[in-house]
Amino acid sequence: MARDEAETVDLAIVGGGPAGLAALALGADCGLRCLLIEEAEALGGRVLHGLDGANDRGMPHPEAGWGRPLIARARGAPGAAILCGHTLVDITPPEIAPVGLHLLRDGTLTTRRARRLLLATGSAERAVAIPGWTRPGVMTAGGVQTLMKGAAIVPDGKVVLAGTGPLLLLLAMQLHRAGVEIAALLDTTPRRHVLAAAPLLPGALLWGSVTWRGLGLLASLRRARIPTFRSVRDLSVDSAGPDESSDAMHRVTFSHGGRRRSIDCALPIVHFGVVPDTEAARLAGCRVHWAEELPGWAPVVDGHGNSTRTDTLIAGDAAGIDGAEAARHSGRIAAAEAAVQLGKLSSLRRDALVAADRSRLIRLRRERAFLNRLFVPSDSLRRRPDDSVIVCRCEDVTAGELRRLAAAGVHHIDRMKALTRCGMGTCQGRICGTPAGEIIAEATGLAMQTVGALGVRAPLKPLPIAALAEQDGTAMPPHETCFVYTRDS
Amino acid sequence: MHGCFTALHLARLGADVVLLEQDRIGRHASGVNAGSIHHIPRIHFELPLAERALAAWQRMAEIVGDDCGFRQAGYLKLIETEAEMAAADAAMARVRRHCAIAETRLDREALRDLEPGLSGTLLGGIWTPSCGYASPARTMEALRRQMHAAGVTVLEGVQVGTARRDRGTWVCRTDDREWAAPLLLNCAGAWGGAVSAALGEPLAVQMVALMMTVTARTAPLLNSVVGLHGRRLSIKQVVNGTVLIGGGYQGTVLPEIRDTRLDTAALGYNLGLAQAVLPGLAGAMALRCWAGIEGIAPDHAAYIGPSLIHEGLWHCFGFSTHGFYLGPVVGPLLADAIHSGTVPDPIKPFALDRPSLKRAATDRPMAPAQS
Repeated sequence: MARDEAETVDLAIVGGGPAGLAALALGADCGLRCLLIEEAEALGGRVLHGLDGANDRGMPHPEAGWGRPLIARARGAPGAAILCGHTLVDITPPEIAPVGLHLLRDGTLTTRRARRLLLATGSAERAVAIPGWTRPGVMTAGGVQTLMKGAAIVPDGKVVLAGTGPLLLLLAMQLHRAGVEIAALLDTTPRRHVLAAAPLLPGALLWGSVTWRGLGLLASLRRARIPTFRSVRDLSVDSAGPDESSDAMHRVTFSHGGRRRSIDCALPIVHFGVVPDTEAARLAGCRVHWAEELPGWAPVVDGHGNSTRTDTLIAGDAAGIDGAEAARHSGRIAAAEAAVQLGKLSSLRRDALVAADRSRLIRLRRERAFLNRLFVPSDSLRRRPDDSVIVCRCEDVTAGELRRLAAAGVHHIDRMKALTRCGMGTCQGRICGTPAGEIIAEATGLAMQTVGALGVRAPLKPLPIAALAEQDGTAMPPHETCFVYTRDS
Repeated sequence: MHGCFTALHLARLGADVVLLEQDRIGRHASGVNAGSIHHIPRIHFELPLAERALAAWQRMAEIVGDDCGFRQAGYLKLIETEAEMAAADAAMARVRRHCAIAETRLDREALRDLEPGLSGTLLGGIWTPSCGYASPARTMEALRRQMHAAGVTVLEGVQVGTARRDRGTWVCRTDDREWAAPLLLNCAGAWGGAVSAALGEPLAVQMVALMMTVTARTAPLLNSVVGLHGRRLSIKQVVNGTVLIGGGYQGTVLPEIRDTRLDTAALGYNLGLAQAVLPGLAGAMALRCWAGIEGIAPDHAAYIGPSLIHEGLWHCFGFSTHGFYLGPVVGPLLADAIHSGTVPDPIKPFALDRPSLKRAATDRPMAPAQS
């Protein structure tokens, strides 16, 4: 393990989605020697999945129009190296050396070094602890979509979709077109959010494109006669009872129009929107803040994509949820900034180069403000689950246990973790960290910033010991330590 | 750990105690160490204290109202070579000379009976059934509760700007106010050297970041806490099934932000060795690797005792990886010493002018303390 590739590149980009691809192309144009690291075997990220090289089967793809050229430009970028199928394990910032990226592929760890790091790690689905969300067989919309896109696996039997957000509606249509029977679409978006977002709708329609597509989608869903329930509350998933059959083993229960209803299905799919994936940024030591408009943790980033670390930039949804089109622009803006910092571009030249990206980004963010306000999961869903609801699925920690300790004075999430093991299981706190924090914040009246985000430690994903271990029995590490007591007196 | 234990016992003796902590209590080595409770390897004058500490860990529920996750799982120091086998008797005789911690020599068969999961290439081991491990996080939480009950004022996230002696009173300046007390106790751990230097009494302590790895819950692999006679390694599987791997491999300390970074190569060596000793570990999933900031004194023993130059100043830091184990015994002894003005015998050898410090300074000069 631990081969250190001696060459230091100018800019290492983590993530091969729209932000990373656009950054790579612009960085290379500016004369930066770039390295792009992607965990999947092909470029594209979630949105442009299936459009890269051998991975591209020429299937119709809604984003193919801009996606294929973007990937082709990145593939052909001069002086750029692209590493697909590499898992980022650890980041060592230049208090020690140039930024060191420790990558794993086929059980071998390598270290790459870069003068600047650009994190374009995209988004992650927001976890909301509803009763029964931990039942085996309950899936998230992102998980279902990955199986459909990646492995062409389509659910077998009736499905119920529940939650909020554009992806939920999109997936409903995709499932319908794939011939899956949708027993119900349960939209938890409260009516007051629709009213609150309404003033922002004209701007969104004027400046954006997602909202137009969303309206088209809603019309298609209506035409498809998918049973849809709006302003759904008190959502829970349970067993369909003693005579459950495999095609309807789950029972989704909810309140709608003042009545309790239940629908049985083979596959409950939940989705509550997406939040920035900040794991790599936090590992690198970038500060995050609680962005109430998402709501979620987001890295502290300036208008050029600079994080609170001078060597690290962040772009795309990893910096704040703005969508795929915006990610292309913020990727270019951050790459241009890196080029300025590395002496390849004057700041005047940078401003001219990305002026169009900036103005487009401002407009797209107006649309995003509408979508955020519309699709935010309600406080009661996020912050007030019943005491019996499991929040940390790895370690079986309930909302009640978090509240009990919060009432006893345990306010910081890291202390809560040490006491309850919430966040110490195989999800490494990725799933439960934010819901646990919101429950503590609600119970204590403290701000999320005070409750804190869980600390992130390497490895960024769980890995077998054998993958991290030195296999060939080479010599002890060179820096012999001083603290082994050998001398008697 | 030592600040909390001493504060707690001073408060129980009736003192009015303010604890000033720059981060959160237990944030560094005290709360994030691997929790091993065993006595080897130690400077000879620490062994009697280690024996008393072992007894204290058995009674933690009486001392701090929680057993702190202490499990008497036993400590097994493994022997890899014939040369180590030959040296094992002398090592055991040394322990017998200084304390009454019972150790047994195990041959290859006895080792296999005790821990069948260990590598078959090991020649034997030294078995100490009275040792084990505890949970640092639970210990620090228990101390927090007890300090609260005993009336200790705990202030976290507080930087002490200056401390000066003014007409028989110590005055500590923090961000927003001054604290005055006749007695000042430096329990700043890895930062103890910087504090002592600021007070005009520089005591060398090297800041190191010691790396650890924890796995996801794993099928039973190991009962005892395991180490090696000849190389650095520590493995234990705790009650919830997770395995902790360490042994003292260094990452990097970032003193300005009081954080650490891993050294991937050293960590790889650590985990490779662990996997060779316990082959069942290979498939266990590593969930987190981290490093805690620890302070190492030149002779690997803590500074415990009154200042040599100031009235009313005491030091207790630089435990050199032994601090967690010794916490429950040093706090009460030091509180007694401060309260009565006489240093009890078990901590006398840790005085700031002990001979082993001078010998170590000439044998292995250390870098000046980091601030």
